[in-house]
Amino acid sequence: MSLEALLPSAIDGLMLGFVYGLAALGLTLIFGVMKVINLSHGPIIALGMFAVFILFSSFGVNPYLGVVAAALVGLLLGIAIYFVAVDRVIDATELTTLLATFSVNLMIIGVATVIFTTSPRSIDIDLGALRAGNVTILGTHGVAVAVAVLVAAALYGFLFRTRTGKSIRAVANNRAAAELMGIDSRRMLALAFGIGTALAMTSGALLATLFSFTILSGGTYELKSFVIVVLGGLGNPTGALVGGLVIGFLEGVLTVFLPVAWVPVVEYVIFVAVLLLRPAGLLGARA
Amino acid sequence: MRDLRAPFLPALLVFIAAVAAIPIVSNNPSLREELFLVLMLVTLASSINIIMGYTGYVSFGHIVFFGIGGYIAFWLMQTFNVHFLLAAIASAIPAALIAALIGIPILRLRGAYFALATVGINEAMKSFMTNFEPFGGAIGMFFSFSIYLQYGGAREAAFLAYYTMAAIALATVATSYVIRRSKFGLSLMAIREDQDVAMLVGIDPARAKVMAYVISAFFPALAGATFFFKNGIIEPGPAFDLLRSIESLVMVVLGGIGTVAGPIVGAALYEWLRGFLITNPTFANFQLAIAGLLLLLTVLFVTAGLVGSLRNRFPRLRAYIQ
Amino acid sequence: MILDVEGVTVRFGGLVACDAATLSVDQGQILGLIGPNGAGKTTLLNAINGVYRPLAGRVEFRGEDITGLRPFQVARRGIARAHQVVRPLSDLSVIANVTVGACFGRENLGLGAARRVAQEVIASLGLADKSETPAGKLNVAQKKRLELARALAARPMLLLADEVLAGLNPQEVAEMLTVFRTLREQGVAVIMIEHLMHAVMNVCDRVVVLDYGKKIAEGTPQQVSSDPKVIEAYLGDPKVAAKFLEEEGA
Repeated sequence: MSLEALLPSAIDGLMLGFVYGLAALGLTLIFGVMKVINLSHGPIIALGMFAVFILFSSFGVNPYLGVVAAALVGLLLGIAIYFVAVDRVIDATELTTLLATFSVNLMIIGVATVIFTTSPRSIDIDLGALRAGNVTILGTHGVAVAVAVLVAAALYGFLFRTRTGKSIRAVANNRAAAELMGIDSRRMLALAFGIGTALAMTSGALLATLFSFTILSGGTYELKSFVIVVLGGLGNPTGALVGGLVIGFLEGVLTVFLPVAWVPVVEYVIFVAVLLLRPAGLLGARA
Repeated sequence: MRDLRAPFLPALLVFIAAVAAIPIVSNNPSLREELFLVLMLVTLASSINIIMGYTGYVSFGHIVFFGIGGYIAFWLMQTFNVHFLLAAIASAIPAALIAALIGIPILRLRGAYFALATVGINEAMKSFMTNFEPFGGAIGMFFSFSIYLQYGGAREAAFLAYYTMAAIALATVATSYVIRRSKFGLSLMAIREDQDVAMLVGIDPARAKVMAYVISAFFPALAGATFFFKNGIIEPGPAFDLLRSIESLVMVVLGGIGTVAGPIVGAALYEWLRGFLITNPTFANFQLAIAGLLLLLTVLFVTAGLVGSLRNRFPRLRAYIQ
Repeated sequence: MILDVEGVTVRFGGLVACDAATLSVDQGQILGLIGPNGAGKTTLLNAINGVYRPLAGRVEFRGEDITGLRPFQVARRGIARAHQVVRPLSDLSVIANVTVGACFGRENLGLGAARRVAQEVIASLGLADKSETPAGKLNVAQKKRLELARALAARPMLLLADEVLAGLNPQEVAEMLTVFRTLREQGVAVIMIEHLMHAVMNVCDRVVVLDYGKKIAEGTPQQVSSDPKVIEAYLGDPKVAAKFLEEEGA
């Protein structure tokens, strides 16, 4: 393995890290607002992939228009999931909410495998590439990064600048107090779940423009999102973005030194170590 | 009231043993295979119930001990030709030891953090085994047929595995019952309800939790050793299958978390339901979706599970069903 | 003295919650610990039974230095705690809650023996008919009694009672005070944090007053209640305070 490969691998990994971060952002937003670990995260990412795929292959819709559609569908789907599966058990123990969201996972996978089967799909788009020395940046990767950055920025704008966003943050901080201020916390929780789901679907949609996938591909990205979210601190949006970059970078760089199959070992060891040593995440206050 | 208390444990054990004896008496291999799986799931669910139901720690990646037990036993049998029963025990002890080592740090985490850590450990172990060449790496290990000769052939080996699994299930259920009725069990339940209060009345939570975790790791390791012995092949995916892990949690919740009988009822019901859905032409395609729907309905409306709801509905049953 | 607390200091960041607090209590003695809100009373109890490790100072129980021991180690030496905010083990029955108290404390009883002790204690506190009820389903007054029952079931030599009378009606307060007097007769030492002045006057042998983490007075209830420093600490204005105390006593 040559060090020459280091720079392109690092850049590749970092770019992918933006998309990972977006998925993790959805997971961490939901946890931060309502202390629910959303185990339907993976299938939702896969739905994002298939939303773009169906629109593209059956209706000829431009994949990037498909990404927007996936985000909207995600928002509505998330709100629906919240009211069906989460609302009733929002104050129950973590086991209950874990299983409630896991049941959604089973239902989505169950129905989607019947409809889409588990055969691999891919979306063929060529946006050319940018070359400098031995670094090659594919156009699709560049656009994915740009979309991810835009979406993350929009989320921050929403959470910190708008009234509704501030209400969501108030609910996350202290639900009882927020209700005393006249905020309908149930609506905010549903909206937060919807946004979290929309983010997951968006990242899935972007991943579909980069790699081939099956309906089960979401599982891998779900586990990756766990690692990222823990790295950045559960419930910390900035942490999720930074964590995404860290994991993307590691994946890129580690392959230069290690066989690819060892990369997950390193990732999960880091994951457990962070949980044990800095449960608040790398960016969080020292435990 | 105490004198009237039904001999719950003996009755339960006799019932399990009687059911386990059916395929042997009727010499029905396909039923034997089915019950082997049910007994294994009873073992997994009852073990998880000790750390999750009694102690309140959601061990999401608990299947890791099943995999560790399976791998160590398999390696001993394949490489050193160790007898299966010896290998099983020899694999459960290191698994329990690993549980103690892992447990000391991760049981300090609470709630979702603990659950995530157990997932991380399972995934770390799975990806490690995928790369660990002495244990066959991604391909795993498999027996040559001659391994079964020392047990009198493949058929006899399958019976030996079946008896062993039945014995493990019985031992797990008995252990679960004894813990539930013991002072140790009371300390676990106190920790589950409020760890700080437990500490203030004189319980050392760290110690009790690690003990519960070790016990709940021991039996799955034995089950893993037995399962893969019968299987003749072990690979990282099936050994550290997160889905199976979650399914065992589902069984516990379905039957009644924190009760002795709950995981047994849950495991039997879940397996029966799966069998029914898969073989039914109308439902076969949607078996996962239906399983998900039933899980959701249970979680939303039957929070205490079947056994728990019965106990709540008819308080008089509390003396008879644990 | 069964308990000697000497110069115990507890600090949270920049806040000194307990500033070189010194007190002691003897067998069969009820010590009242009073002071305005935020005076560090609960913190001091937490330092005694190991929830917080004191920055400085020494806690000695029956001649043994127990400073910095973990709460369960302290409990096993015979110190029990009843909380201000009740903390029942909600899913467990009342009898199980109290059995927990009897099981793991000083006497380290077996389950059967602990259950018998628990039954006695429950009966003595009037919870016998609730024995099998899940603790979470009790009302507030019953939960308060359960909290005390769990502590008493450990048959402690020292009971740390943190505002166990708050929120009870006069009838219930009177019943609780009887329980404390019985404990005194049995030779149990009690430190009680209490805001109900007439209860303190009524039952305490001695009173220690904390303000801003510092001990500002100590003596019999009568001595302390007429101490202008105490009155000032409580209400800022001695005249208002005196009037208040008169009304309270009436």
